[in-house]
Amino acid sequence: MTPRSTSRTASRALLRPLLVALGALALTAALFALQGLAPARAAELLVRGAFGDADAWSATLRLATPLLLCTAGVALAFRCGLWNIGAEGQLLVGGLAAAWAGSASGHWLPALLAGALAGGAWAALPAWLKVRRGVPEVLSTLLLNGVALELLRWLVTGPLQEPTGQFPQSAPLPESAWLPQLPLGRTGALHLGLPLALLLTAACGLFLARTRAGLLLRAGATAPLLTKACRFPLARAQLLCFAAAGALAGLAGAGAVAGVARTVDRSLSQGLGYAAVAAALLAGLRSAWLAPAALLFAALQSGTAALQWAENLPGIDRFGLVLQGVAIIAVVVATRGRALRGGTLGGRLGGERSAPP
Amino acid sequence: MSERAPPPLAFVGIGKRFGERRALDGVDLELRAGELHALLGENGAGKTTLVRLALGLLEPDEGEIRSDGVATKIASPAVARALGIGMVHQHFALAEGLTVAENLALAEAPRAWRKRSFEAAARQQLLRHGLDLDPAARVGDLPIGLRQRLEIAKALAQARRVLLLDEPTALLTPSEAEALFAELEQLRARGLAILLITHRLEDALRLADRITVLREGRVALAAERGTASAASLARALFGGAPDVSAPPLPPRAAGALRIAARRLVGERFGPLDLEVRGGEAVVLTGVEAERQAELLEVVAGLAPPRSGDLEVAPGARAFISGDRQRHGLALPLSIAENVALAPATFARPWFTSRELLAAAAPRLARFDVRATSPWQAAAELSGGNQQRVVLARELAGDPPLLLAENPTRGLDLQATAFVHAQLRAAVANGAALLLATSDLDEALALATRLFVLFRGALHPCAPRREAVAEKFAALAAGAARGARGGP
Repeated sequence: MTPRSTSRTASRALLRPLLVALGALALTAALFALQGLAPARAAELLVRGAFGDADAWSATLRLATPLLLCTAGVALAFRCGLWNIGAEGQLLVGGLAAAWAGSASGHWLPALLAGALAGGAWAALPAWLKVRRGVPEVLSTLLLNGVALELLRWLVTGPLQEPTGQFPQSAPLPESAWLPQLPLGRTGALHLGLPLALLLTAACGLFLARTRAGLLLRAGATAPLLTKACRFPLARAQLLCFAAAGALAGLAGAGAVAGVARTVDRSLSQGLGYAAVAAALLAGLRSAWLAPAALLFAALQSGTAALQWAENLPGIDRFGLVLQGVAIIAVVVATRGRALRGGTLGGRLGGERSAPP
Repeated sequence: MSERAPPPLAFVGIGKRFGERRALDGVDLELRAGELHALLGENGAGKTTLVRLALGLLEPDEGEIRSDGVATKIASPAVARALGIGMVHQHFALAEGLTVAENLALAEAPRAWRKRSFEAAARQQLLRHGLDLDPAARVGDLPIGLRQRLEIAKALAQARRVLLLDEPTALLTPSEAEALFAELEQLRARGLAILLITHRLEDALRLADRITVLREGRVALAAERGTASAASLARALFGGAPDVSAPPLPPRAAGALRIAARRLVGERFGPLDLEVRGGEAVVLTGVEAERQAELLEVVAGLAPPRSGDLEVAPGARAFISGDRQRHGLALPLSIAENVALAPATFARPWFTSRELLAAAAPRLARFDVRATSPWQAAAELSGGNQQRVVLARELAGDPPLLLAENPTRGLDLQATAFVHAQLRAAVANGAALLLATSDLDEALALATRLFVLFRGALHPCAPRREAVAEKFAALAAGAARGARGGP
């Protein structure tokens, strides 16, 4: 390729996302206007609500922590050709396990471990069904989300219900089982989970890019016979990979319980597991972009929540979902659908393009 | 031809550029009614661009396309269809989830969508073209040879005046190719103008009324029947005369036993006995690509045999699949990563990017992989370079046992010669090669021992063209007698 054509391609590659971003902004402004909000004012409130001060930051990061863990899990599975849509359910069972283990042990470490184990086990079931029985994991993981939610409803009104038996929630964790807090903001809702999430996201990226097992798992996404010829136990590795993805989501649930809520009720997830799928795709499954994508989605949610308070517009917080949708559509348009196309693997879903160090 | 009606399709002074690169430059080419025109050229010579112009997928920057002598703008595929121009693509454009009949119906865009009516229509259509296909079969279940057959049937539905074929024999077995050529002969007699893109010089010389050779976007040679020779075509193709037909390997003293199969039975082959030793190239050829592929996979340990004994020497082995895109490479991964998939590439379970590069670079250099960088995705390479990456992974450790299945399928002459040279060199160094190929030239070029795989059984045969032809004829005659119920 000549230098000229390279620069031409590069300028075109930049132009398109730019146009798409402008379009997405225009669409967002129009949506705000429809709600009776001046777009400029809404944008200002949104940004201030997400990043305006230490409180805003801590609210955003509090959401971003479990979201990033789920996103890392979803991306890990997707990169290996495994369609894990079950982060929501894995998060819920992780939270339940953490509530139980935290109360029983009185310490946060068993709570986290139990959450990860439960999430991993919850993911291992559809993984086993896929590897051994050929059950499509898109369906089984998605359906298990509903099972997990019903399990939670039953447990918090039954075996795990708080002692007074008045509220559909688990017994509050003893203070000894709270996660160590980070000093940021007044809400005091930042905990050990955030550095853990960043660390594990980086670890997943390194595992996929710089280990033989990661390499072969990614190869197995498109060429399973090739990995077999390379004497790699693909099925077993896929099972473990899926379980690890579930463990990350389970950890997200455990962190949300032991770090923030101190108890489990129906509001534990609020769709974080689904937002994680969207965030992972928004990042194009590139490890380095997972954290920014999770942060963006968290900011949209915390920003719109702040908007609700400032403008007294009940229900406007759901607007965060609309904005997430706009972001996803923008990315799909900008990449001409490559970001969402799984089967043929234009280079995104199967594995990120390796870059020289 | 006595009357000189203007040709149904003619390219006059066609130029096309992509950025700085001139894909086509002043190309003249006529497709006359009742003639077969062979188009030759290395990968990147401009063949595909020319075809895309004819199909209305691109428009020329210079020159004009004439239909029946009238300058025509083929602005869209619909225009091409209206002009009666149809195409058989090298890569299949089939809906795998639909049946044969439904795929044919899609190509014709029928008015009524009734299943029974298009199964009947498909049956008639297939019968008319002499193509043996079950209209109710799901395309995804068909082996590659039958899918190609369907592609041809599909194109014939649209190509009323001009039929373009891009390497139609690349995936076919020799007998299927012969059947296709007979069909082309018929279509030519009916007055169709045919463009045959091919890598095979002998097919062009044997079949074509006219031959055009493209090199770097220009016409390097335009010849009529009888005025070209293999040597002149090869010179026009490469600008020199490369060694396209090296002599077969000499028989050698047999080395250690690498493969021993006794009464081996698979889903689609057997029972068969087979021994392969170091320093010999045992080649299985024939028309049964699916059976060849299964046999190789069983020997490689990738598929279980049904019964029988199979002993394969432990240790490293190379497995070169004919299906590069699905089994040979992980397309989204980089070239370096694809090479590093080989077992024992790294001493530890993890590696740094520097170690990755250090492991891959010498192999990529040794096998002459041409890429912008080792970090380029394998999907972006041409077929020839993709196969070089496969060789770089599979052969770099100089394994004592090589298993290869149609390793040059769809490659151009130079890439084919390269692959053959590498296999030859490995055998000369004492490796055992078990090769299954549907390409008789390939079989003859490499075999020290040759078997014909017929109906899943092995029949030894002298590695000479006439001997193989005779063997096939005898086996086919025997099978035909058997089918009629006894001798």
